[in-house]
Amino acid sequence: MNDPKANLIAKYLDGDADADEVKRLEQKLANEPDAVEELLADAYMEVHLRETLSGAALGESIAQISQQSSPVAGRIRPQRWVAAAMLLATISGWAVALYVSNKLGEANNSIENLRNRVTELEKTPTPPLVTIAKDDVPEIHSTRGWLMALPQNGGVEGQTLLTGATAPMDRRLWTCPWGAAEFRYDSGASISIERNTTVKFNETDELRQLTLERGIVHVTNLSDEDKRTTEIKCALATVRMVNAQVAVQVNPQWTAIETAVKQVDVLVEEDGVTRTFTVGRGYYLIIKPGEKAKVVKGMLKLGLEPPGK
Amino acid sequence: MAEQRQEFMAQFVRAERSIRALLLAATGDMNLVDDLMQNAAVALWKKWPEYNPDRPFRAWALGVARIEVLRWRRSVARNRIVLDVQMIDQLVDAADQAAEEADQRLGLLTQCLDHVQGDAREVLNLKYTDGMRARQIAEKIGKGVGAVEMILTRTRRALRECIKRKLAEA
Repeated sequence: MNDPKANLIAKYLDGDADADEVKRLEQKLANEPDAVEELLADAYMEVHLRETLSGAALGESIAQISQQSSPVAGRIRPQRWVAAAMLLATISGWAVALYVSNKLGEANNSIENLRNRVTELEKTPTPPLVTIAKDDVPEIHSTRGWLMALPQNGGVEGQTLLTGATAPMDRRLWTCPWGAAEFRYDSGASISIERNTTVKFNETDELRQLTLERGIVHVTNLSDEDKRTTEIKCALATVRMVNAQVAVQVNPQWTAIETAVKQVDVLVEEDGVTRTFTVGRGYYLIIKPGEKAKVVKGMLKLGLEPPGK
Repeated sequence: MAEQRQEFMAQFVRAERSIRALLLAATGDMNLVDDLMQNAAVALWKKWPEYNPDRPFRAWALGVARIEVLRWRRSVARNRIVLDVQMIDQLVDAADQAAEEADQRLGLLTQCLDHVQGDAREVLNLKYTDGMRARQIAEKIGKGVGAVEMILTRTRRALRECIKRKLAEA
């Protein structure tokens, strides 16, 4: 049975309606008494379908990323993350802990499984997991969505991290697909990680070290008194900076380093030889697997905000 | 502060599905819904101190979400055909009224989904779990785009009818 109105609504909700079809839909909404209810009923069903069918997928995604060892080898399909983002948004708000203490509408199997999973994660103690014996340690200044220390082999549970805690060392930290987090040091240096980013902190006396597996980080250290080197390690490059502001993006297609203030050194291994590039303000370095790294004039707009904003 | 957040989240989680449905109906873009949802959640939290607990939270939250929709609408209206403001207002009112029944339908949808199998189930999973569009699904399963759209249309219709039948039985 062909129902033009139902087909038009389905096309619109699928994001496939062109301008004429949106106009036609608008006319139907204005002139046909049931059209508004029908559109909403179908919108509710779309939301329900995503919620129900992606419920089981989120638990699987968490498990997958927990085992992921490199940005390329075990990466999650981006489409899966869209679903995970939706569900995380559905359940987490600002903190999973808050969600857990509340409820999620009607229980169905997949949602119930997910809730159990999150509850399980929440049972572990709150951070700090490891406190490093230094004065200048990264503290979680703010978070959005879900910042999580991923589970590790050997039965180490994953846990959500909250504002005010010290960043755990040598643990893979992950922001959910709509999350973000900012870490600040006593010296004023800061590291922001964007959504769906996986990083690991490792600090030594001389180095502030961050391993970026995938996603985007912004590092800012503009205090002339702070001469400690910050090192950002990625699969294809190592960025070293003292006083500068830089953004680094790692995804399966490329690694990009963009500088907003002053300059940074980037070590890239090419054909067994380590080359050092200097990337200054207004330039970015791009490295694609199997290709030579190159410095390009211009901005990638990785979201750097100049100081003072 | 923690108690306030907890109370807010309790209310928010109950209303969230309605807000999502409104955002989808108003924009026709599921990918946009996540971003607008985030904006709406932040706006709701900021306005939470102004919330009057004597008023139904969902209606209040939909009103705040409406502002986010209108803001989005202003930003894209020059380049894109979007629903009229009056239509959006109608959707806001109707979203609140439809919420109770929609929530009732969710439980039934889960039951009805158990009967969806084979190609139809695969297409649903690819669409709603993996977020694929019809063209991508067609490539993935080796069928034409038209065939995938047909499967989706039929499956959605079957689900609607199944829910209606179960509602009538109840």
